[in-house]
Amino acid sequence: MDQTLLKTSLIDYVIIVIYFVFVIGIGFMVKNQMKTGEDFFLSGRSIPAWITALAFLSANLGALEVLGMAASGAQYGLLTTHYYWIGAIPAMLFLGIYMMPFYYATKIRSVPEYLKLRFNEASRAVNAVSFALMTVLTSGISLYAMALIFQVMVGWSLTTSILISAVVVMVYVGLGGLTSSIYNEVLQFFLIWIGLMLIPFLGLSELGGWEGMLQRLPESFGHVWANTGANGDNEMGIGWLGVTLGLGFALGFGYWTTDFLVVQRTLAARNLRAAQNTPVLASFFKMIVPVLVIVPGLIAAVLIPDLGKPGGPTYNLALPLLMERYYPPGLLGLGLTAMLASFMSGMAGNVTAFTTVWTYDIYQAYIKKDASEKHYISMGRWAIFVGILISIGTAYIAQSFSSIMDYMQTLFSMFNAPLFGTFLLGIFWKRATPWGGFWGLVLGVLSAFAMYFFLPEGTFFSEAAGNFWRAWWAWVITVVVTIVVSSFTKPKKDEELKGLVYGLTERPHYPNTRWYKRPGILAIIVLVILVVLNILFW
Amino acid sequence: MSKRMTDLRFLIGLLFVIYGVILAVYGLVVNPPSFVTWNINFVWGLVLLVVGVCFLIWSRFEEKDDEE
Repeated sequence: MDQTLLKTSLIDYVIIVIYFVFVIGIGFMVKNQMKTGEDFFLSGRSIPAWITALAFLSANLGALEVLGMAASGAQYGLLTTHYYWIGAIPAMLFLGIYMMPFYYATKIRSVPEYLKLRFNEASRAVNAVSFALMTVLTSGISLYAMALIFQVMVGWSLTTSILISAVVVMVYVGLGGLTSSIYNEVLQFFLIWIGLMLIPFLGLSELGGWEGMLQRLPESFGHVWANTGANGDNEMGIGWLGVTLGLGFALGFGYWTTDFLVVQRTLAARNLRAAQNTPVLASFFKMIVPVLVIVPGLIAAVLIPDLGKPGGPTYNLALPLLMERYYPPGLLGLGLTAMLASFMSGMAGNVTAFTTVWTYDIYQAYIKKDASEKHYISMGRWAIFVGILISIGTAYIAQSFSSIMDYMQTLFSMFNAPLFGTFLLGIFWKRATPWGGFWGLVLGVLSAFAMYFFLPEGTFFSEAAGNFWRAWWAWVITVVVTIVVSSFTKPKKDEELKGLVYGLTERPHYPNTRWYKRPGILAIIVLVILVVLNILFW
Repeated sequence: MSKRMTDLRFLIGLLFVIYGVILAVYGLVVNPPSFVTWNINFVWGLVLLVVGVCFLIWSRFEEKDDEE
């Protein structure tokens, strides 16, 4: 490809190279802190809440997310904010307030480990294997997608982008484990704001402000809820019931409360209150991310009339095209660095989560039980190496499928909604039995697959609506099966469930802590802001 | 190795100061044409510099170990 979207100059490369040097340097500096397995896999549970909160948020704010949400903003308008508001905030608060006491206080090291304690070994194995597999595949597919974007933007070959970013991630995560990964996620959080914030700013000033922009867009672009009365009233083809039950409840709670990629960040916090505050503080920032990703999409929809039309650039190029319009050399380097950083930290997040589950829930559980701390750290480093190699391999396989990314996203969400059903009953219903949990989880996932492959096309109004409803019904099936199987299998004794089940566990209270540090009060503030935002942009 | 070098606030501050200086100097010296009439590289470089310095100042304070 000889024609690229962006013209890069030497200065841009200088800025990018400084970033590479910097992250590898961080890896070397935190390497000396890695003495035990907990240091390497869980940062020694010693990180302050503001850092884990930003890492929690950034692990999910990968470059694909940034480009994809800008694309969705350009295609559907403000409807996209559902993914940031109702689809995320209630679930994040629930994780912080109700689930953290079980995750953190039991000293589990991974999500599958909780399943083992609460239910049985079989449930853990199912979750560990499916999570490890999906994570490493997702990481490879995003590796490929990113390489593709950089090829279009700056003309790097696929192999160059894939190898450089894979090697950099391998070095810094391999050296510093989760701490390295978390540090880079926080660094990326600030970089992406400072690197991309000028785009909505310049765009809105060019278009004559918020109202000026909305006047030049279809009416539905400016609303979050107004057009969700009946399916098909809006471009996305989603109705309010599907948004609430499917996205807000099944998908949102499924992802944010059970996906080890995000949960791992909370486990690195230095105490229970910091762990509870991690998702709560993150939700403050989550609510304003749309300014950075969705607003540029709206701007692009006005300024680039042939965007997404036959013959025009694809929606995924919404953000890069605005960069081309507004960013001179220098600033362009900063913008590209922000995107590279968010992509690499997304990949590092996947790799650290994969490594931890592999080492603790598969290797230590089934292959080698009583080895030294040193042995598990070096196993972790090998897992990073092998995990990244598999990712690279997947990246090249993904090359031969054009739409596999959408499918992966769909498949991934199929695992989380049932898992959330299992967790909800596991935590709040002490009568749920080990085999009830196991069969509920397995049949829930299988039913999601069955719905995906066997329901005739056109059952749902749109792909988004399909995802929402499939997640909801998979969740319902998990809950029903768990309850039915539990009713004729033997439950665990109360003593065994202490600390694992609501009602048998002491609830955390912070009577002597100042109000702005208490998770419950902060969560209420977030909820009020959430309601106000939804009314404001109705 | 000093504790400071592994303080994330210090590292963020350091990176932003480096980037701020590069952008501001590049903006002053080269000032490549851009969409806006003002010198965007220079102005944004200064913003980065200020943010970076704020982080460096913050990192001078001991981070309190929170009470449970």
